[in-house]
Amino acid sequence: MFGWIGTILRVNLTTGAITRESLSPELAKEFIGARGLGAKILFDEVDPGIDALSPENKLIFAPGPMTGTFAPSSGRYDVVTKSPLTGAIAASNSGGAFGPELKFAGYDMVIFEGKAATPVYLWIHDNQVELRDASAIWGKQVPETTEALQAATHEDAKVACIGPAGERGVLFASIMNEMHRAAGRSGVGAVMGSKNLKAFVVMGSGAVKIAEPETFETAMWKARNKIMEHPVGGTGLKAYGTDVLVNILNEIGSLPTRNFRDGYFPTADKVGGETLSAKRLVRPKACFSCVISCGRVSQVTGGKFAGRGEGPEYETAWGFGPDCGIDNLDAVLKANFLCNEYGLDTITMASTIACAMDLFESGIITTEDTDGVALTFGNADAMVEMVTKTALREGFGEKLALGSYRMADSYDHPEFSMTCKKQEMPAYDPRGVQGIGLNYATGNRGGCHVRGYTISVEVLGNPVKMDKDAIEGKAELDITFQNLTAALDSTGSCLFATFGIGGDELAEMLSAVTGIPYSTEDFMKAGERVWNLERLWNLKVGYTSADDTLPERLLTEPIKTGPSKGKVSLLPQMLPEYYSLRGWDSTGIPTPQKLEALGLQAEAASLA
Amino acid sequence: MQIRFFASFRDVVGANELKWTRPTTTLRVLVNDLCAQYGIGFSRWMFDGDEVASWIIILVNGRDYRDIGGLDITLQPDDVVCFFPPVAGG
Amino acid sequence: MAKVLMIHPDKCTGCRNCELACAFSHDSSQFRLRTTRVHVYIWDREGFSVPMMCQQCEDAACLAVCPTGALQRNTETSVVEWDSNRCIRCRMCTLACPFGCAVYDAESSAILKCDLCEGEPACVEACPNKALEYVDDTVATYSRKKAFSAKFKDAFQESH
Repeated sequence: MFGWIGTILRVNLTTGAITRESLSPELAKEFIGARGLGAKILFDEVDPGIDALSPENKLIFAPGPMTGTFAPSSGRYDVVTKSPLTGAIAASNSGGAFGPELKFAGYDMVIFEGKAATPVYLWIHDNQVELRDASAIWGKQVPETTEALQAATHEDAKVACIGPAGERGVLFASIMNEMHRAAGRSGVGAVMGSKNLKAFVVMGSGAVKIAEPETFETAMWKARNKIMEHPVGGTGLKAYGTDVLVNILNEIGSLPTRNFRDGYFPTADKVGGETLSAKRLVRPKACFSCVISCGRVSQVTGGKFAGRGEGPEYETAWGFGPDCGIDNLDAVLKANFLCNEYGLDTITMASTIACAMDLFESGIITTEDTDGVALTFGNADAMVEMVTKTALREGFGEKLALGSYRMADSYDHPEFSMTCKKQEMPAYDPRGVQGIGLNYATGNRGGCHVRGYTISVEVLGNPVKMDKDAIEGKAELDITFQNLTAALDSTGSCLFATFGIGGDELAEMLSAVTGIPYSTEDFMKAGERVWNLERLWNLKVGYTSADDTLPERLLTEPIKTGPSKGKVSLLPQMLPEYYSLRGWDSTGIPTPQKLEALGLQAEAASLA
Repeated sequence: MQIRFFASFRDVVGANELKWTRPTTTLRVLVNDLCAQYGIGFSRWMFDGDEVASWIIILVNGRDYRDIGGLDITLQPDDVVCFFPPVAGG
Repeated sequence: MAKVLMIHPDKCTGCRNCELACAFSHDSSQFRLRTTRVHVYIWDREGFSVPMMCQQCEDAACLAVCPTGALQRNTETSVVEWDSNRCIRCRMCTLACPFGCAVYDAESSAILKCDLCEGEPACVEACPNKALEYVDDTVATYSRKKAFSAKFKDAFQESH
């Protein structure tokens, strides 16, 4: 095969059996790879009703057909599994060079099944595949684990691992590769920990074959130049990172503040990308094959928050900043570094702390619950302390480790949790940007911005501008972005490539790599197929249209201050149109006609 | 009038914020005046050909100018106008 | 005038596009990164990266050690070129190069070293950050000199 290697590796952790299977060319064509192909395997092999942290769950690592090639910003892989946080399908993708290395070692996918009796790690060196004892590194943080395993295997090997948070089953633990890159969301690291799988180490010497080299070269350079010549991809993201969004979202009054109590934070600039670049940035960093370099190597040289690492992304700066009522950039950086070292999703960690602060300020919890800590908005020391408590599940950290929904629910106030399908929403207030609220509510992995980044159109005006406060056309916008992103994720490409290119360029490159002619329409349809398949699996989990919603606060309590003052989310007015344009019935179930058009008849039958 | 600058515009202008007292009728006039004052460093990001570039975000009191009537909207003395060069994130 | 391939580690972001371009320009049918003649070394903990490749040494150890004359200096371009027909694959050059920039690839039975792509290095074209430059020998370090001289300028401006 071209693009794809043609091989799936299956690792049964219970028995230790390691087997190779051929990748079906038909499935590859229909579901592309990474997120899409992972969803298909999960759908076919995993009962949606199981406990996500039981041996019955499977953990799938999958790069895409473009991963490992010269296509711009294309070196990503997805981790697909049943999420312990949401119960829904989890697909967390990550950059760095781990995905390409897995391809070079000769695999399109690795499926972990069962549970090892004692801690292990998988070591893949081309054809040589072995499970090794990891008891000596169990308990170690991500950087120490990474270095210990490189010393035990090869210094150039790529390591994906969990930290103490994943080992302890924190429901939003991440999987980290090359120390700083995260498959962050939905608790994929907790699933890895539940299987006693500490790490996955890979080194490969093989190749990714290209079907039509000349066509690929032309298409690749066209796409590459479009991204680099675009002012955003070419200069903006490298100079300031994604954190530059803090000021934009604040100035339009849609920067969620103090657990979404408000949408405007007067001192937001102190944690924005401009301040980060001026004061704490060491250098920009890129993932494999990337032309953008949005990554931040950053450092706090002295004081109680001293440290060095990567970050923050915009979401992280917002979460540990304004959402906790904090404008101390060094505290934000420290919390970010700790999350990377312990292996925690920064968005859910930050939002869960913000929720706890809200509960505390509302008098629902007191210092008796919080180990004596005054967990008030703006308390930077407490925020940083809570990250470590969560990772180690110490004291109040036991509650925080459950995520904001279960934590708030345990105090009988689930309405304080700013989640969709139990996953924390990111840094765009749906009251001030209507389309993104619809995207959160309908997201297949719960509250998430990278499943349909309508901010690009509603706020940034890229490639066109729509009024952020309007609801007209937003259902269609959401669907287009959701389908495009599902297809793009499945190729192994980065979402940020879309700041310069779209479905046309991606389909062109994918066709040249694989030798299968994908029209732009085919490509978008593959994305729609993936989206509907994920939806079907979630319906089998038990999710219904009642879960396609936002926290009550966003639907009824207007933003109090700033430019979006007085606004609420108009989700109920957009959702019926969304269902209808999706070809779903009024209860959010895909119609048989739609599923047939997408070639999902067999999957539909399993729903009945 | 309060004008706020962000990202690379701060380096060009040499300030994060300034008070603009020159009489300004419309946003178009303000944009032209700023380009005249800060020169090529400012205008090269602002324009794509003769038009204000699609990637430039200008907010008037928190609203994108494209959503409230474009460059010909009238400005008031107590307005807050924000200028963002091409940036993005996610 | 001779040109040299100049590395600016301060500008490198570790994207490895140079490796991809190098592998692709020598074999466009596949991406086998082990065949790249440029390698980016990345220190994850420190967040630092630097591209490494053959510098076409004037007093080249690989060339001196080669027993068959398979490595020869092209006097026009000053590139140390490898002749597959003369090479007996003894791999002495890979041992002699102190930088590790001559490598033996068993799969293609070839010595892999930078050949400067006949004067248009693919890695330079692909670098999005200008961390690699192919420039006239004597001006290769101008940008560094200028950056440092700017410090003098600033210092003198402050004192006046």
